[in-house]
Order: sequence, then structure tokens, then C-alpha cells
Amino acid sequence: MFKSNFIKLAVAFLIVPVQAEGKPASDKPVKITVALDWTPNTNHLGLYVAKASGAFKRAGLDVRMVQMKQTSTTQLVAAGKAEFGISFVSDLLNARSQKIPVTSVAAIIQENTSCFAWRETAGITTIKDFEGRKYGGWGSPEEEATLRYVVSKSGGDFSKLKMVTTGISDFLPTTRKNADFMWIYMGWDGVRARLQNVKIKTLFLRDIDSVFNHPSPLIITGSAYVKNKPDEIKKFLAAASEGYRLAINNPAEASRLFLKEVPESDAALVKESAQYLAGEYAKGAPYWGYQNISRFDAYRTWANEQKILSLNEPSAGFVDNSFLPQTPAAGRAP
Amino acid sequence: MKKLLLTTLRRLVYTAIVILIWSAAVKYLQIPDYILPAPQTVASTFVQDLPILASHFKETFKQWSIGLSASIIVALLISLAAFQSRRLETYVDRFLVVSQAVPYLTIAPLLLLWLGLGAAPKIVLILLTCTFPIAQLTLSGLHSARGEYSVLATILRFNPRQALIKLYTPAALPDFMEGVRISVTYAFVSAVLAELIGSESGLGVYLSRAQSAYRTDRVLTVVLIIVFFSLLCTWLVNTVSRKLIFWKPSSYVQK
Repeated sequence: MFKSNFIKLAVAFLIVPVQAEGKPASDKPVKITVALDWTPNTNHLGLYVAKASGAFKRAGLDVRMVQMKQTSTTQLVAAGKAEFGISFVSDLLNARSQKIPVTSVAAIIQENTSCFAWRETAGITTIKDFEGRKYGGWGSPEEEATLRYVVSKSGGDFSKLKMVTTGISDFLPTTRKNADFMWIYMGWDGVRARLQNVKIKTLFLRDIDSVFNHPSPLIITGSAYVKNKPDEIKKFLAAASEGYRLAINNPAEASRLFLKEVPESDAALVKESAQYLAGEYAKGAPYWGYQNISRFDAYRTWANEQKILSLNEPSAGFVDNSFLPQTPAAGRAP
Repeated sequence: MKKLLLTTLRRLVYTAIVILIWSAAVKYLQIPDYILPAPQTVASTFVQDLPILASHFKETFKQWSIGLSASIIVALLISLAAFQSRRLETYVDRFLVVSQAVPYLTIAPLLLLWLGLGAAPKIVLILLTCTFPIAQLTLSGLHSARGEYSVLATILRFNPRQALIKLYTPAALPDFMEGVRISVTYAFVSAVLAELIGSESGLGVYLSRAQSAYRTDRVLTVVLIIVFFSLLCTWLVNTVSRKLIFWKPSSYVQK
């Protein structure tokens, strides 16, 4: 009698703590939504790798990537409709100047890999040749300010340049008739032109002036999320970092995983682009995702001077490296 | 029967001619694939992408069926309620007009912001576009039925409720079906539009990925799927209408 009761009691003591502690930890993965900036591309490579390789799942996260068009990723993230979003320095600064509560937690690519590009047949050799040409863009104030600054600095006359709003259109079709030069990402449109055997010339923004050499794109999150769930951010970024490190060390395998997740992509473009970006993701940084805050501030100061921004808050207030794992990205595989 | 065969044959010949001209134009004018691909390219893309397309289609179909069912239910409730109360009708009328005046391309991104990134904004978008035609047509059908049969209702000594159920509602059925016929296509296009703006899967997602990969063949594949699905739905609604509204001559129900 006593003995059997004792056993029951002992068993109960053993079971109770297990039930109490075991449940919240592992059972249900936390649902995470990432709002992309555009259709899936190699900027998002590490995220898709982390998803396909199970890195997110191992971290207890159920991550879905939502592609966006026309909708402001920044607003969605600030409103908490998505935990993370893909954004850009100028977008982040504009959001902060409008008091939209977002924080940047990782830099996907260390440097600005965007460039002005034109077909070789356009006959442009220097920035001064932009004079009298048609620029096809999406009509943002940043573009105008940047071109004005760049052209004037080279001694050209900005007013002779024609700005055409071509919307968010693709480089190759647009430069057939509608525009002479555009602002593109080397790792995507540039690689695509090469694959289609169209000869293009480029001028990297980072080579024109170091003020433009900020990381791009960024992973942002809502400031409320930073305050309430810092552990979730750490888990997410640890898995993302694992994904991007694979993209750096083994771009072929990374593109294979990406294509498994997004089978509609242009496979040749993804593979080539992954090869190009492998050397760019963590270039010169101590670890993947690191954000050099002085680069944010340099651009902020410049944008304030150009009167396209009015933001006095130092970037340290909304750029946070503390959630990133400091695992060195290692060299590229031979 | 012979007439039907002839019409089908004529349609097939027309389609074949269009495809031939398209194919020849692409070949002889050397139009690059990213401007206009040849019809055979579109066909082979369709076959190749069939498994991917099927999974995206399933997602869009889901939003479509939920959104359309919800629209039909809401429209019926609205029109029946408005039919009962004149004051309510003025409000409903205004609401319906406003719901049509809203530019959905502009409001859709806001819906995502308010309702999140799940199925909700898509279903609401369908609801906003499709409730109007069904409700408006049903309501006007009920009114004309009352005009036509109110004397009969008095003779038969029906109370208002009996008159509504036994006379007006069946008489308004053709108008209701007409509203549904318009909405089946609207709903599908709205679902694709909503997916285009922000989504994880669905035909709209496939479409925007195709656009940013210069795959015009894939864009056209989606267009063809939307067209065929719309034709199929319209045909289905027509068939159901003809069976349901057996008392009216079949010429009344539009072909």
C-alpha cells in the first residue's frame, strides 16, 4: 500500500516537471514572415538556403518568405505584419525620418554593388557623357539627387540630362528604346546582360564616391520586436548567417538549394549571380551581416545636405549589430 | 446538333489562323523571346511548368472559391435586407457605388498593411469587387419582380414573407445568376492581382517571378490559364442557370 503510493508519488514528481518545462520549448516552431523587397533573387540567397537546408527549422522557426510588389516592406515590418523585411539604406533613413519604428539588424551585402549601366552601343565613356542622355528610373528623389551630384561633380550640366520614369522595369528591354542608361544591380541585371551576350558598360556607385558605398540590402525588423523578442531575432540571424556562409563558401550548392525553393527562377542567372555575389556578401567584414555604422552616417549626412532627407538621429539608434553571430565568414572554397 | 458542330469547327479554324499568324510573325520578323515568344514556346513552357503551375493554381483557386462564396452570401444578405427596407436601401446603394469607385490597384497594398500577409487581404479584395454586381443585379431583379407580381400576391393573399419566398425570389433568380456569371471572372482576376502585390504562392506570384526573369512565355501562359478558367466558369454558370431557370425560355439566359 505505502509502497505503491510512494511509487505513484515518485512517478508524479518525475513527470510533472517534464511536462511543465518540455512543452513551450520545442513542440511548435515559431512562425516568422519575411517580407522581401521584390521577387526572390540572389540577394535573398542565404535566407532560402537556410530554409531549404533546414537551418531555420533547427532553430525552431517556421519561416515563410513573401514576395512584395508595390507594397512598402518597411511599413509592413513596422506594423508587425512581417517579423523581418528586406530594405535599403535610403529606405531605412526615410522611414526613420517619418518616425516609422524599424531597426536594421544585418547587412546582406557589405558594399553597394549597384552601378549605372548602359549598352556599349550607347557610346558613353565618362559621367560627363550622361549629358543629353535619357536616364530610365523609377522616379525617386534619391535618383535625381544622386545624378545631380555625380554629374555636377564631374563638371557636367545636370539640366541637360533627361530623366524618364520607366517604373520598375528591366534593364535589357528598357535600354532598347526607352532609355540610354539605368541604375542596376551588377549581381542581377549585370550578370543577366552578360548571359544574354549583350555587351554593357558599368560605373559602380561605390567607385564614383565613397559616400555611396553603404551596405545594401539590409535585413530590418520592427523596433517593438527588438524589444520583445530579442532571442527570436538572434535565432533567425544565426540561421540566416549559416545560409549566407554556405552561399559564400559554396555558391553552387547554395544556388541548387535556392532553385529547389524557387523553381520558377532563371537557373543560369541564379548560378552566375551566386558566383559573383559569393565574394561580395561579407567582403572585408569581420563576419557576415556586420554593419559599419559610419557608412550609414556618411550617407545620412550626404542625403541631408542634398535636402532629400531630414534626419538628425545618429544611425547607431537604428542600426544594431548585437543580434548577429560573430562567426567569421571564412574564405571562399578553392 | 449540326449547327453546333459547324460553330465549333469555325471557332477552331479561327484559332488556328491566329496561332499561325502569330507563329509566322515571330519567326519572320525575328521578334526576341522576351518581347513575344512563339506559340509553340508558350505551349512547351506550359507543359514543362505544369507541376509548378498546378501548385500555384491550387492556391489561387482556394482564395477564389472562398472569396466568391463569401461574396455570394454577403450579396444575397445585402440585397434581401435592402429589399425589405427602403432606408437601408439608400445606404446600401451608396456603399455599393463607393465600393466600385475605389481604385483597387491603390487600395490593395493598404489591405496588406491592415490585414497582414495571409489569405485575408485577398479574400477581402474579392469581396469588395464581387459583391457589387451580384447585389445590384439581385436587388433590381427583386424590384422588377415586385412590380410584375405584387397584384398576383394580393390575389393569392400572400403575406409579404410568402410573396418574397414564393414569388419574388424565384423571379429574381435569373438576375442573381447574371451577377454570379460576371463575378466568377472578376473574382479570379482579383485573386491574381492580390497575389501579384504580395504573397507567398499563387498564380500572381508565378506571374511576377516570370516578369522579373524576362520570361514572357510564362507571363502568356498565366494569361491563357486565366482566360481558359474564366471561360470554363462562365460556361459552368450558364449551364447551371439553364437547368435552374427551367421556366424561362433558354434564350433568356445568355450564352
